[in-house]
Amino acid sequence: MVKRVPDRVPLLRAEEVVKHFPAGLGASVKAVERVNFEIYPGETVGLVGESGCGKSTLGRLITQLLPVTSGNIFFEGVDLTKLGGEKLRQKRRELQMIFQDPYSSLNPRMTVGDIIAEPLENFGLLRGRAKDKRVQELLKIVGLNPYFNNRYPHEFSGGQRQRIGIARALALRPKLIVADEPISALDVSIQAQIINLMEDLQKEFQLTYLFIAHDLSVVRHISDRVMVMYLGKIVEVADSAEIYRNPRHPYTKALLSAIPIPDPDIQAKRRIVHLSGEISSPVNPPSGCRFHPRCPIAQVPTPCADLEPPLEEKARDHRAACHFSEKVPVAV
Amino acid sequence: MTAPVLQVKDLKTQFFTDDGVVKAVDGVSFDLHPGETLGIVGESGCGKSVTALSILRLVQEPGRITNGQILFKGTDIVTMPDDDVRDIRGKDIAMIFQDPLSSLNPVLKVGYQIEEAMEAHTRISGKVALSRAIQLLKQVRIPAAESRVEDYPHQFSGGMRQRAMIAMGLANKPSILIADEPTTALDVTVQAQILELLRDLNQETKTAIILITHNMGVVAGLCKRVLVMYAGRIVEQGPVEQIFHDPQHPYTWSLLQSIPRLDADRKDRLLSIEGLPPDLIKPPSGCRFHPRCRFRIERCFHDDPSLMDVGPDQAAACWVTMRRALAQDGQARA
Amino acid sequence: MATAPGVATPEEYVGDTLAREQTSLWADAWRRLRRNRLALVSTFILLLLVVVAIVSAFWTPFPIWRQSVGPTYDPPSLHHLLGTDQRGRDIFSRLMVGAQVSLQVGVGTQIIVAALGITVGLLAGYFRGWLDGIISTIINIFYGIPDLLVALILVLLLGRGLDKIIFAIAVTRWMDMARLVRGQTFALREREFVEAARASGTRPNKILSRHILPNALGPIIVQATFGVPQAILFEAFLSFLGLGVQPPTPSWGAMAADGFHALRIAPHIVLVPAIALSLTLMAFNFLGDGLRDALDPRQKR
Ligand SMILES: Nc1ncnc2c1ncn2[C@@H]1O[C@H](COP(=O)(O)OP(=O)(O)OP(=O)(O)O)[C@@H](O)[C@H]1O
Ligand SMILES: Nc1ncnc2c1ncn2[C@@H]1O[C@H](COP(=O)(O)OP(=O)(O)OP(=O)(O)O)[C@@H](O)[C@H]1O
Ligand code: SF4
Ligand code: SF4
Ligand SMILES: [Mg+2]
Ligand SMILES: [Mg+2]
Repeated sequence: MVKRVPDRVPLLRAEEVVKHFPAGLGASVKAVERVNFEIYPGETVGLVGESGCGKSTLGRLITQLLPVTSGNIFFEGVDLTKLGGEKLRQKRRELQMIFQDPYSSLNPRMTVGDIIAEPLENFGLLRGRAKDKRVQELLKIVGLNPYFNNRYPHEFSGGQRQRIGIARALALRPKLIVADEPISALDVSIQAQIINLMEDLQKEFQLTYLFIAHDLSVVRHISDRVMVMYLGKIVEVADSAEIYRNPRHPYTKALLSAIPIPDPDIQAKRRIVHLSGEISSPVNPPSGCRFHPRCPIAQVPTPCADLEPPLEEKARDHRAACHFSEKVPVAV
Repeated sequence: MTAPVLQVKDLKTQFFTDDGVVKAVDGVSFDLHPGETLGIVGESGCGKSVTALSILRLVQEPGRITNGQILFKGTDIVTMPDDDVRDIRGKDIAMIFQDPLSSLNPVLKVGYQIEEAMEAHTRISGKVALSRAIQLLKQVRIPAAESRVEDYPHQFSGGMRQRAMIAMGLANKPSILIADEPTTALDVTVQAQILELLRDLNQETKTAIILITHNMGVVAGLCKRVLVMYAGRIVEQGPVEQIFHDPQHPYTWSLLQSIPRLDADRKDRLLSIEGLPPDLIKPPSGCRFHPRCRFRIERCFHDDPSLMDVGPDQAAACWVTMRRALAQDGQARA
Repeated sequence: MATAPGVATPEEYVGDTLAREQTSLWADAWRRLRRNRLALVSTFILLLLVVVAIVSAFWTPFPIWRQSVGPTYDPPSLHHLLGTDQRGRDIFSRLMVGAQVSLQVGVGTQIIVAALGITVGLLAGYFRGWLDGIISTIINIFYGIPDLLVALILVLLLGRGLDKIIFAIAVTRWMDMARLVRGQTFALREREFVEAARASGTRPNKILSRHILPNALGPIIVQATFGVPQAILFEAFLSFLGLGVQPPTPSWGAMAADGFHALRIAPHIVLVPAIALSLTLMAFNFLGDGLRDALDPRQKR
């Protein structure tokens, strides 16, 4: 593998990460399969892919809410998968998560103040008035009225709740925040508020984001780099402008062509790339390239159905896992 | 121009809840012409689904249509006897919903459900029904329709279920198909295929389509005319090109500015609409958008604008309109 | 950013307007409960019962232990409001004290049941794995043994004190609660707010006490409310068999048993405690129904 920027040390590095869930009768859901990537300090990495491809699972592996089946996740050089109990709990201060559902991610029986204060209490960081002050400060940071700290979540709208979730994630001053579809459940007019807020906070607190979404246009807007996932594997990683201009994997290409653009003239001219067949099952993923049953340019059986393409550098800082990446048509 | 198949006139639908009267649809009027594709956009809770449900008189308790007319080929659905409305449902006006799994019966074969949809309105023999069901599945591009007709819904993927729903909707050759967020639960690649299918079907069968969605891109791809709803009202309507290229209502304009676009250069910041969508029990005074509008003037606080012509076939409910707002903005900058 | 001249910018904090001021879940539940006639009447009956039970601790029209305060088998009269029993004791006084016994049995068992069932259910539901395996097996074993048998053995071993009876009944009744709490915990631990708590370093004991238990409280309360009449009935049944609270402490079950032989000549001796019992059981069940409807969020329109 060609080194990116030699003097930059990744904040997080995932090596051969695998997650299988038992699915009964000895079968297993191969949700994440031998995934490798790194996240550098201060950048936003977008993670896209269709429903069920393993995005949330990968996010939960990184934050160690789920144990890996095998593989290593290094955070600042420390292998999180080898940590347990109190050591892992201490590491959580630096690794936070924002959840998709602003309704189910806040405890309905706790006040907003208590929700935001909980991380502080867990590590005995602040007490009494200092804690209250910090909670109010956090509310202000995310654009909420600091005097609403003794209200309950149900009194807030979806967007406001998502702000509360962001305040909770910020409370411990983490280095990395995994945001799992933070805007998917929000009203269209509110999504921009949250995207802007996350961008502002990143600048202010030097945050690093892993931003998970299924909407490639949102991901492209917020991310420096984009990773595309298909059926448990990362199939393409590149700079977000590059991946749009020059997709090197047919799945990325199909995804790009399918995203509706709010312009009737452009929509009328676009051609979508049809994916034949159905989404394969992660219990029994196809042999060779997992995308081959649906790939418009697949050559079966050889090499696509019997040789798994490695995720390799196709251009500078642009990796893709496809035997025929040069054949992927350029531009949308 | 041909006579409209559907005319909605000053429709008001309200929910009488413990907390107060929710004015979910508050004076909506529009026409739908034969074979037309009409998009209704707006964010969650603005009354899109309730408008659609009202058209078929499917609004549930504690909701009620309190005002207005819904003329289907000239007869008013609002005052029609129940039996006649039941006759129209599924036959003349079909509806498909967001969640294709919960709208299909899990224990009945897909083919059987399509046949049932036909037999509810016309008497046909089993053989004819089966061959028509297969033909419909083919029409919605389900491969190997002859064998898939025997499948149960769980054997279909999400996209195929939505296709099956569309097939059921088309079973009686309706003149109007109402699709309420038909692709929201689907992946983008599947969404694109469903939209393409709807577009083709509209051309093949000349069925008029009302497409309800919160996704501006989806409307741009399929519809000829667009209604933009905000807080139970239509705030802007017009041909799709004008709505997208020359929006006159600040809400439409802001919405378009606030979504990241795949084809645009990466901007630093999205324009965001501050504040919250209003509470429909106590909607704001004056223009309902005024608490969130960045172009509001004194008049907007107390004077409620109604739809005014702002271009050929285009109307917006705004005292300022974007043409003037942007011109003033330019002056202020200069 | 485009802003028309002389125009106020939107509020500084997005959060200056709340989505909608809603009542809290409890206030909302109370509002719904109040609209339920049967539940309200039941609450009133039960409050009356509590008052009677408290009063009986200090005062009864006649001393309950003394026999022959009146003639035997006397039907209700002005002097003895509900008549007298086979030993000439005042039934009204005994009924009052019986209420005390019933309430103690009902509430007492549910306190033990709740303590045991909640602890066990939380642990099994949250930690799952082998712990859940063991707990589930124990629950199923207890379901397998006839409860009457367990209670009889315990009463024979421990004696017939009120506290022992309460304990014996609780031992046969904790499984429903444990199962309910286990199921609730199972569901709640998958909710994102529990995951969020784990992600921010919350320890398991706090997750259980702060996040899971408060959110399972509604169903627990409903379950306990339904558990009270079951326990009362069970005690009455034990007493009827002569295995309940040690005489002369009057239990409604024992009172009914006492009059059983004279059902023909003095039916009131059986009827009075039986009616009191039924009324109490009904009241608790209607209240339970009302609480379930009021606390069940799916009912929310
Ligand atoms: N706890 C679990 N037990 C078993 N299977 C699981 C579990 N969690 C996820 N899976 C499976 O793993 C696969 C990946 O799921 P995951 O939630 O990561 O997908 P996703 O990409 O986040 O999808 P979405 O866009 O729908 O959120 C799916 O097939 C899912 O069914
Ligand atoms: N059964 C009901 N009882 C009370 N209010 C209701 C009911 N159904 C809908 N409403 C209210 O009517 C308004 C319009 O709802 P509607 O379902 O039409 O929104 P929508 O535009 O379809 O939104 P979405 O994009 O979320 O589907 C909302 O404010 C909603 O709260
Ligand atoms: S390796 Fe083959 S099947 Fe896989 S994406 Fe490339 S061309 Fe398609
Ligand atoms: S009428 Fe006024 S407040 Fe309403 S949209 Fe137009 S400018 Fe804004
Ligand atoms: Mg997910
Ligand atoms: Mg809707």
